[in-house]
Amino acid sequence: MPGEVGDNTSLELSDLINRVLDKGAVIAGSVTISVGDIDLIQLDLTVVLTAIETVRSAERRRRELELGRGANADVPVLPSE
Amino acid sequence: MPTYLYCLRSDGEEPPEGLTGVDGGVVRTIEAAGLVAWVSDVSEKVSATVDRVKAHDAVCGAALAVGETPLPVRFGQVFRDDAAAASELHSHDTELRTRLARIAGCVELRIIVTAGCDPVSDTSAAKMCQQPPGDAETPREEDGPGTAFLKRLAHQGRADLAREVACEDVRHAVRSAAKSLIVGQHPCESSRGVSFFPVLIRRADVDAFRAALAEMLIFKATGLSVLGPFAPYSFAGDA
Repeated sequence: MPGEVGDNTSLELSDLINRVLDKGAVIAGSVTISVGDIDLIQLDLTVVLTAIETVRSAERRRRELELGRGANADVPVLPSE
Repeated sequence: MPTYLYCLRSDGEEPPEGLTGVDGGVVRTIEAAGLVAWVSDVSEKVSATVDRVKAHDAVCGAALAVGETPLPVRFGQVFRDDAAAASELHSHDTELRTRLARIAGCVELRIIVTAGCDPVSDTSAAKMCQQPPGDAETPREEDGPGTAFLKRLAHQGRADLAREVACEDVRHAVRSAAKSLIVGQHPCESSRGVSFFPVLIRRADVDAFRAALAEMLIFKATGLSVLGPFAPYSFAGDA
């Protein structure tokens, strides 16, 4: 059933990971998700924490907005990674 | 034995016989505070692997296929045992019922934008792509390998930004074209090389929503996909 336009296995897998790791109800107070020995995501109901990449994306957007308001609006922003 | 939680529902639908979840555990139900949770036993701390993430989503998908829309739970929710899981559900009873009511009768579709420089003219993304590259992106012969690398990153950064802007263009166009069919919609997010936004649609309206999208000019641009329907992870209340 999933997939209609541009059906693509790697896209579906990427979306699956985004969806299942980043979204959904959190019941327990604190959960750490790890891949191997590396903790990727820490969830806490009282603190907004999310995937590291999402935070980086938000930071990049903030920088872009700041640049857009300044004199250097046409200067491309280097990604943070 | 630890209990792994997949989803919650307010009706009493049981998992299909033989349904297995994370690490092959047989999916069963427990009741707490008038809610039914689909769970399975796990033997250890559950770290994320592709197979486990797929198994989690498959169980939520199976739950969506029977009875009312379930409230999908995020990957990795493990409790000491059934009693501990039931205790947590009791403690969030009102909040969980509110969330279930919010998604009742609905499914999630996810619209994915993979290409930012779409062929539709007069979009913000197209204009951004048409801008000539600045000095920070233009490669020069005298550039050292480090500078060349950073310029490639800067060029990629522009492409990423164009994709994110294109996603917002699509999101606004979708909202205009199918407003009456959309129960809920979130802003665009970007992660792992794609930009996307989720929409919450009534089950009965899924075909009509897809038809409305197919009529949109911007939807005919390259680099767009619609995935779903899924259990409404993005509207389950967190993040």
